[in-house]
Amino acid sequence: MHINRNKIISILGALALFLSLIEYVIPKPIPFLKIGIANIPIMISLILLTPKETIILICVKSVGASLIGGTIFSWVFLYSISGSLSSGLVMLLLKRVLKESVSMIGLGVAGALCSNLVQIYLATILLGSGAKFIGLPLLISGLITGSIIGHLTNKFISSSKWIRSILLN
Amino acid sequence: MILKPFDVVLVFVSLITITLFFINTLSSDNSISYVKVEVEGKEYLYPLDRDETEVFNGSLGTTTVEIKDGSAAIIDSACTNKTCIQIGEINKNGESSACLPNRVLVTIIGKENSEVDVLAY
Repeated sequence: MHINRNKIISILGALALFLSLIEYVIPKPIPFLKIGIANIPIMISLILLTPKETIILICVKSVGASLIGGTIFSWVFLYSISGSLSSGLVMLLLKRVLKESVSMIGLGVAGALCSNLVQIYLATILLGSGAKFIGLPLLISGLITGSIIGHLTNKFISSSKWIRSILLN
Repeated sequence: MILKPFDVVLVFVSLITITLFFINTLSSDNSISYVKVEVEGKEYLYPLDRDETEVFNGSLGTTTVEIKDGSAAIIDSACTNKTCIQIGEINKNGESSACLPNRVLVTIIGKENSEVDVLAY
């Protein structure tokens, strides 16, 4: 059975938008403190799609989630897309270099760290150097949520029949 | 085994980065200070981390305040005893220098006195 590759992007994109909608509903102690469940489809795409297609998926997720959240014409969108793209690029690079010796846990932790560092750097440019005092809780929570999300993604990949059927093709 | 070898490596790299970030944040904690200059009842505020030289008109004449490399100093004043120039550089929170005859007071103030809440999402 031939599976249309554009279909995979749209399915993962739809999943990412759905999960980011759930993310909005979950109450947050600090505005920027996110669990990052919307990144699960992006991590799945690391093994299903080519790097170019993964970048497209990240753009779909950032623009779509900002449209739903109504933040597309605000600074929040700039934080969102720069964080997502940088973490996506780092995860692509690590996956390409380390191949099978790394699982989604390592990639999730690295991606969360990278996304948070880029957003903190942007915040210090836009809001002044005081902004980095919010950075420490962000980085620590990124380490925890990154590994949890990575573990969930590992589980999902190993048990999903849909993913297995695509990989076998 | 749920962890692969490079997962452990990446978690460690992440921990080290967070520690470095923490140390960096702590060490730069008191660098966001301001120089407050009071001249005959008027107040002026300058960030301590930007090099600047300002001239103020006091009751006798001019007083020159220089901000350089995170320190502030009165380098010239129209007074006769020049005590203010002898005080030299000030850079810690709460330190002050003054030219009393010319009625110029220079104080270093910390960020807690001037922080503005700019985040509102």
